[in-house]
Amino acid sequence: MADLKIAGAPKRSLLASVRENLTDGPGFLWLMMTPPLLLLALVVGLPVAKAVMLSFDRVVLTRPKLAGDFTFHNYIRLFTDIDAWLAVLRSCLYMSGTVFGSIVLGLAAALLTRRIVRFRGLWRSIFILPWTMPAIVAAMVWGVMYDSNFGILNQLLRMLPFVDANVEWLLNKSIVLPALIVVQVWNEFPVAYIFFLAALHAIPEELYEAASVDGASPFQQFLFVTLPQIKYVLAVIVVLLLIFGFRAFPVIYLLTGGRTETLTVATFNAAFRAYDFSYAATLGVLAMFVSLALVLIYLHLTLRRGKADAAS
Amino acid sequence: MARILHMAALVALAIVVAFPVYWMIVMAMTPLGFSRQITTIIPTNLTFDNFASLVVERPMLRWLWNSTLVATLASGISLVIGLSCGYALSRLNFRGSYIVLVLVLASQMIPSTSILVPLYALFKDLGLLNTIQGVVIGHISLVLPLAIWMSKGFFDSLPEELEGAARLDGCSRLGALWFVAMPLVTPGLAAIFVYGFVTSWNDFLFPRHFVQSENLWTAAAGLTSFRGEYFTLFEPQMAASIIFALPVVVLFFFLQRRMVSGSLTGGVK
Amino acid sequence: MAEIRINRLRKAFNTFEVVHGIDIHIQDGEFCVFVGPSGCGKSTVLRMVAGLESVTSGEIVLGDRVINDLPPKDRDIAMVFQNYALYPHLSVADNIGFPLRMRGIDRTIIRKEVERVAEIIGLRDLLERHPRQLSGGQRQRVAMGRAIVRDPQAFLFDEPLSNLDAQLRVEMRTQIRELHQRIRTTTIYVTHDQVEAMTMADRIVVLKDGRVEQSGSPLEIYDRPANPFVARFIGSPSMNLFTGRLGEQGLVLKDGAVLPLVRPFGSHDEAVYGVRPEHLDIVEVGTPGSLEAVVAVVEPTGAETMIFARRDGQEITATFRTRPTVKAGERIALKPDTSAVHLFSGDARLN
Ligand SMILES: Nc1ncnc2c1ncn2[C@@H]1O[C@H](COP(=O)(O)OP(=O)(O)O)[C@@H](O)[C@H]1O
Ligand SMILES: [Mg+2]
Repeated sequence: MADLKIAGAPKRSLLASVRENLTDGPGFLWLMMTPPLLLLALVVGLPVAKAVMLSFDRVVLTRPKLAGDFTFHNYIRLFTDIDAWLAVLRSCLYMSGTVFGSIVLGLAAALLTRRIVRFRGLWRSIFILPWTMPAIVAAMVWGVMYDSNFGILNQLLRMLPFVDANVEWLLNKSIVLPALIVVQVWNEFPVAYIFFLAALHAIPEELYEAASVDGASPFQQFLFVTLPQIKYVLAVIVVLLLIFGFRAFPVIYLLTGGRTETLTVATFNAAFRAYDFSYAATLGVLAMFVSLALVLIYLHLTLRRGKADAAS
Repeated sequence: MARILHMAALVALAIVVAFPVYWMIVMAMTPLGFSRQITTIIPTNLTFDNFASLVVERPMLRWLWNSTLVATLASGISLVIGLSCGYALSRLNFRGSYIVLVLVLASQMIPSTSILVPLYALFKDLGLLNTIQGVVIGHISLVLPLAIWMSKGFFDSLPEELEGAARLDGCSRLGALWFVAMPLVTPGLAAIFVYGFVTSWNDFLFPRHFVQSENLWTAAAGLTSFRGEYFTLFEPQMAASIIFALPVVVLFFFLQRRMVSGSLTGGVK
Repeated sequence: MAEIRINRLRKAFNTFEVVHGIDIHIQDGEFCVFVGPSGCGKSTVLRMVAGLESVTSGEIVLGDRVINDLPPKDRDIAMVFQNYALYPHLSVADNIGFPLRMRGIDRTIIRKEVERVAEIIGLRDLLERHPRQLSGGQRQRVAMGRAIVRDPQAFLFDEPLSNLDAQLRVEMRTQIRELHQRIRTTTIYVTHDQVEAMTMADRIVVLKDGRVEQSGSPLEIYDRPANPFVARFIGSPSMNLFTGRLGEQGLVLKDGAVLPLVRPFGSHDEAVYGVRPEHLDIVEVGTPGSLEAVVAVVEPTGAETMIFARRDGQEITATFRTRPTVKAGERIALKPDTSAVHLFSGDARLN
């Protein structure tokens, strides 16, 4: 046993052994991870750090004298700022509205097209089309349609008997949020549609045959066959759409000019309307924590499922 | 009967969903100023003048070129650099991989407004405001996490044994990545590139706020300038929207299969 | 070619140990089969030998070198994977030539070698195809071609036949054996199928839960299984096992029936009595040393007749070269051949 050669360390130049380590040894991980993580630190880590620093400072472009001291001012202000919490509330409403709308619409579209054979590609393309539209284009198109005087929606409404009033879709405070949600849903429901369609196709047809042999009505089939099979996908979509809804900015900002404040719009307004970069950064940090929480939920969902798949 | 109801529902839903796109096209082809008098939803006299005026009266071509440049650079750099991280996350079971995963995904999901503010402050100090480079760097922060996450997904879909076989056949880990894994994910890489390209193309926040000079704007930034707070003309807005959206829509449908599977990464298999 | 020695090998994934210190010595040129139920760690051991999995502790010796920390490319070992792991983007010829190409061998030589190997595995006409255009059996052969083209020190097979249909599996079994007889390269072959193990191996290593249960030639293991697990795992249909207490005449079952032994055992401990289906005889009901049971199913296969009988909730299997005329429901008596009885206590063999 003592005269065994330990392989792997024949005489080599230093350079060659470093190379060996990087391409086929423990160093490979470093080779692969260092450049991307450095870049990530630079383009995301640095701004995040800067945001945290700003949030403990008072950088207000209109009042340069305030800057330079470490302070909790912004966080104290945040906790007592009714408008900020209203913005958070609006974000929540917006998120739930878009999630609900996208899921209903996406599921409806998926259920309607799942067994369609003729023009299958056409139907699918139609339902995916809105997703391919950039959010700013969605905002512009709906902005034109929502126009209180000349928009097609009001023109169509006026054609109805007894309807005369011009609906101020984007100016009326009680309508604007639903109106914005409609735009976001239109733009985003295809994500739900695609997920649902894939999930529905994964359900074996025999399950439905068995169910109908057992006398289940179409609604019962949906309840007891379809729903349990797409439960997981549903959960994933909910989290994903929550994240999308939370991040949403272009639709809200472009359609209301920033008058309707969700957390993202409030962040923007604090920086580019009030020029209070520190307070904006504080709101931004709050938003980061919310997205981190959503990401953890998402990972928890998908990774646990991944493990379960691997085990079975 | 059930069938007819089904078809009717399908057609109705499709019409509702497709209508805004149809309307955008109609509006874009309506003679300037006439959209306010439209009384039917079937258009009569159509024109391409609005598209022409974009090019003549606005620096639309310049903006499109800027967009192409920024999006290509941001997506290309992100892909080239991010790929290896996706590979490591997919293949190397290392300590802390979960943390990296969370960091990457969180970076992707942070609202861009949260990044905009500190990035603006940083760029101001570094003199990167009002430069194309600034916009590219900003967009890399949006695209890099996406490239990492998506490439992990594509590598995950390759059987691990392939690289095992390659390593026994005389490849280093790097060689196995290069000779076996890379050729097989190339179509996926195209999808990632397009995704990153589209992400950068669609963003107006960074170019609009990092750059003052109009001729350095991307098309997204230029497009949003059409929508003033009060009064704007519908027709050029819609024409510009179409020109802006068209490349993206075409790319999407061209790569539809892969785009969809890419976006599902981590979701349904 | 070289011998492979595995010394006190352990493997833990994070903190979860799945291989608990195994010792296996494989001689130069030997065809060694690892067999065990799914999840027992066969693939893990094989992947450690290949270098695809790190070694937690212990030694892997190839020839006269400890190869624990040697990267796979320098180990000079070839492996055939369960899903074949053919490179989908390369033609059959390029797949087979890949290991040579990676070693920087001249193109013309690669061509010649590929053709030589294609001849051996009978794939001459398919060299230009891509893997997706091949049948399962053909893919399997390409994978073998890629393994033999570079004349490695050792071959590793990880359940290479489990994706093939039953008939092809039997065919490939012989082909792999023939190939081995021809080139005599040290081989580790992993399977969960004990028939494959019995028919192919020079030596079988039975694994369970990351431990070696027994190792030896197929017939040694069949004739003298070291413990009840091996006894039941090797052989089809499985050995009949009866639990009881040792007595003067033999093993006394709970209901008082006595199973005979060649010689009485001194102790009165609990023990497990094993007898293979072919070592049971039908005798007249009431014969001393026989077990009464009710026939449940009779399955003639032509060469043999299999009888499944039930007694006291326990199933007993017996096979016969002759064709006994019993029917389902009939009460029969089965008498073990005392010279072929296996006796175990706990995990050890007593006789
Ligand atoms: N990469 C891994 N991470 C964690 N556990 C693993 C990994 N690979 C295998 N295992 C576990 O090790 C055990 C042995 O697996 P394996 O060697 O594949 O078994 P076999 O090939 O005998 O079916 C199993 O319990 C399996 O779950
Ligand atoms: Mg296995």
